[in-house]
Amino acid sequence: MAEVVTIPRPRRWDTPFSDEMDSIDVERILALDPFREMDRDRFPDSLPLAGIISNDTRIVYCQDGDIVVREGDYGNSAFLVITGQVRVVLQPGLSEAMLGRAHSQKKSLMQAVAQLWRNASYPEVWDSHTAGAGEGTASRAGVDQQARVFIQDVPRVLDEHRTATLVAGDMFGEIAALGRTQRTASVISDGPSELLEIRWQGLRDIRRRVDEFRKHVDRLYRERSLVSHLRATPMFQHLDEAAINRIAEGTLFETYGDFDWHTQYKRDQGQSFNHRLAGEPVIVAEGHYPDGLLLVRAGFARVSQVVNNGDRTIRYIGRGAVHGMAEIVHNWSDHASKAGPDGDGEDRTTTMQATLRALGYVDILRVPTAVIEALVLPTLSGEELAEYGQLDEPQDKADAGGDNDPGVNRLIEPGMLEFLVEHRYINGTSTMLMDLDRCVRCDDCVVACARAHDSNPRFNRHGRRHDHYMVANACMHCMDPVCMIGCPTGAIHRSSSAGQVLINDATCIGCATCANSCPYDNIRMVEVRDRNGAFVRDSVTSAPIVKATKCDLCIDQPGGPACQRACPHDALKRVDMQNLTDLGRWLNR
Amino acid sequence: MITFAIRRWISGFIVLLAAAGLLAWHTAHNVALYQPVFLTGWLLLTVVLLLTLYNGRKKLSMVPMGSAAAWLQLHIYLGLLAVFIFALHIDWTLPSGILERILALFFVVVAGSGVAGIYISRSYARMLTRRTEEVVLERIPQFIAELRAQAEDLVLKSAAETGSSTIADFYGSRLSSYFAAPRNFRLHLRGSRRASFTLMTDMDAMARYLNDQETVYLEKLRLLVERKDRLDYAHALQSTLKAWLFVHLPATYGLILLALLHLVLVYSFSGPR
Repeated sequence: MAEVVTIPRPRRWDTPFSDEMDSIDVERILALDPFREMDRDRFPDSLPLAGIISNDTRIVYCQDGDIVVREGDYGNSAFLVITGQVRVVLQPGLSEAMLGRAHSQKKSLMQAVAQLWRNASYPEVWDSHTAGAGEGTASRAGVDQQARVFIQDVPRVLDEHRTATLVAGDMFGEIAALGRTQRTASVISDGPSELLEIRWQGLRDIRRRVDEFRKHVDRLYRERSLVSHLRATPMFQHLDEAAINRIAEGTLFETYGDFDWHTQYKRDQGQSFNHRLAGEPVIVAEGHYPDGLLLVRAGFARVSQVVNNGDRTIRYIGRGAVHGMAEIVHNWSDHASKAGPDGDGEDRTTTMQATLRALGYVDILRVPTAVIEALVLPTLSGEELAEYGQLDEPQDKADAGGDNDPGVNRLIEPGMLEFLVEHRYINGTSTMLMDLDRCVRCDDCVVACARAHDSNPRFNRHGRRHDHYMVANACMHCMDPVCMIGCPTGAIHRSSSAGQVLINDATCIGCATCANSCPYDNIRMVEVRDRNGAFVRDSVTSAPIVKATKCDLCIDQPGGPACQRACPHDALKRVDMQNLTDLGRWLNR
Repeated sequence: MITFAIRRWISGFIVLLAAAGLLAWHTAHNVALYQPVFLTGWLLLTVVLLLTLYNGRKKLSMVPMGSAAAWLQLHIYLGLLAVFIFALHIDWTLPSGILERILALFFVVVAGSGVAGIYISRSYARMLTRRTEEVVLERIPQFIAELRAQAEDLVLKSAAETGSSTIADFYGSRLSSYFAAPRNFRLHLRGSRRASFTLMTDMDAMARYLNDQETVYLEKLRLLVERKDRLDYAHALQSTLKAWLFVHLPATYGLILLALLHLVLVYSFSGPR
């Protein structure tokens, strides 16, 4: 009989944020605001405040000019200033080059053609003279051994930019960390400073247990982001400021799923569909009373309906989407007709027609039904009410050829929809989809990619298949790019032009954080070479220097993605998974 | 986005329209006692040169001058029009001179291989999708070598553990050459599964002489044979998908050279027009 292998059950704090937090540090932090004021009895024995400080925080020592957070980065931690001060760079912020990001400039026609003979003979040749950080910046290892990009001429930068000063006791970065949104401003250290970095898990637990802290974070969000989000919602766009503010006051913040969903997603590979479905938190269930309008602030959610013993996905929704409006409109209309002079008094409450589940991590804004009924519905025209009031037809009726099909089902067959949702391909804004019925396996796409990228293709013509479609292993430039979380130098970033996820070779230190985080294994670590083909090695350890590589959608090429343009058989397309109509049309060519 | 069917109808209609226009123009020239053969000749040469630009476009993938797919569509339908122009040029009859006949033969080979290429591209792509895993053609020999090593290991273990040589003998007589290289090329191209069916039948027949222990080995061997069959299938189809270009492209270069020679001879010896 095979020997049973036993290991201790993995626990949350098996891997603390930092190994260097000792009890003296913890006591010192607990004596600071806001921790000093927190009631420690609100924390259970299994999750004491001191434990959170010890395991979910670390002390960061910054030198003058160090960039603490960069505008546009995705963060998973917040900061508390312990000593010294930092400057928040107000709009307009630091330039892309100063933030250590690549300045993407398109090649001219001649430069593009010259790649035919100018490309190095070896793949991934690294010009050492181009190595370095950005314009006016450099990188160094901090006292805490963390790589950090710093600004060389701090006084000049402070002269040229408007800044706000944060001093000891001030906190920053909590909104981006908890909301999985981009940093809205860059923060630089003004002189030496000591900061407490709190990872999101710790922040979440403190927020859950300390009302004052939760209110503080919610207030900041209400002040800074909520109103603009509400204004962007189609059914609120015509409302005046007073109404929007009243809606904002009544809005509830809810979070579902796991912030680190990519680790769970990888762990659940190979599990049954039902097992994975059961792991998706239900935001609202089919058949329940619609108690609020749900706005997706971040992340993705699966909309499904029960069909016999199973759940069928009818669509997926992402940031900016709305769920539950149709049911609210129906109930309001029915209530009005029931209460009217010709009303029959019969209760015809329409319950939720579909279940909404969190796919990974979802931030929801719930606007109570009463608020919608009071402030929004009376202001909508008959046509708008009819438009917003279209209910999802039950799937068993849709199968029988119902005429109220929302459209997506007709364009994308259910199996394909399930495939895309199940493997989280819905996250992609430029997912490489291949029609294998048309692909002649000529590899023209791969060759074109290699020509445009240091003689090394940035994708594999390989991937999961559904029917005759394949999602190739190419960066999808995700809506929720978890690969960007944790990059120590900010080398992986979103392009400010069209939002592509890019890696700046000059600031990539080859730590592989992004490659390990990518749920789709679309980032590869490669060993770089010099012009003679020899591997570039670390001057101290002699270990090969590696860098992260991935598809950059040919951002510097004049014609856009070479792979798509090179396919002679219309077999390859970069698809924005948020545009289901476009996807459906391509699938049904 | 228009569907492929609509695209085919539109492109086909344009080609028919162009062909009808050419026919009318050709007839008018004939009636007017001009020599349209010179005009159709120049037109044909121009079209053939335009068709060769497609290959150049494939090499210049980094230059923004339309997608390769759009160029291929143009290549296909302009190619069909070229066939019609060619027929007008030779006046629907077999050319009389030797050079002209060779030139015509080259044209037929180029056009025929082009049509065959389109057919192969469309049908084999589907067949590959239905029956094989995605595998890169150049790596198939490596996968076959791995399967061969596994099969040989299995056979040796079987002989050592069971003390019987039935499986080893079968391997030596039927499977060693099968696992040595890609096999049954033509059968796979025809979509025939006769080869693997015969092997499986022989293995079923041999199973009568095996004990339980040997049967386990046979079943493992059977799986390897099935995997090898799929690799052979992918090899046959993918090789053909690449190989037809080795007819189409050299024949095109030959056609252009002969056409230029034909042009020189025509202008040298045709006399006044």
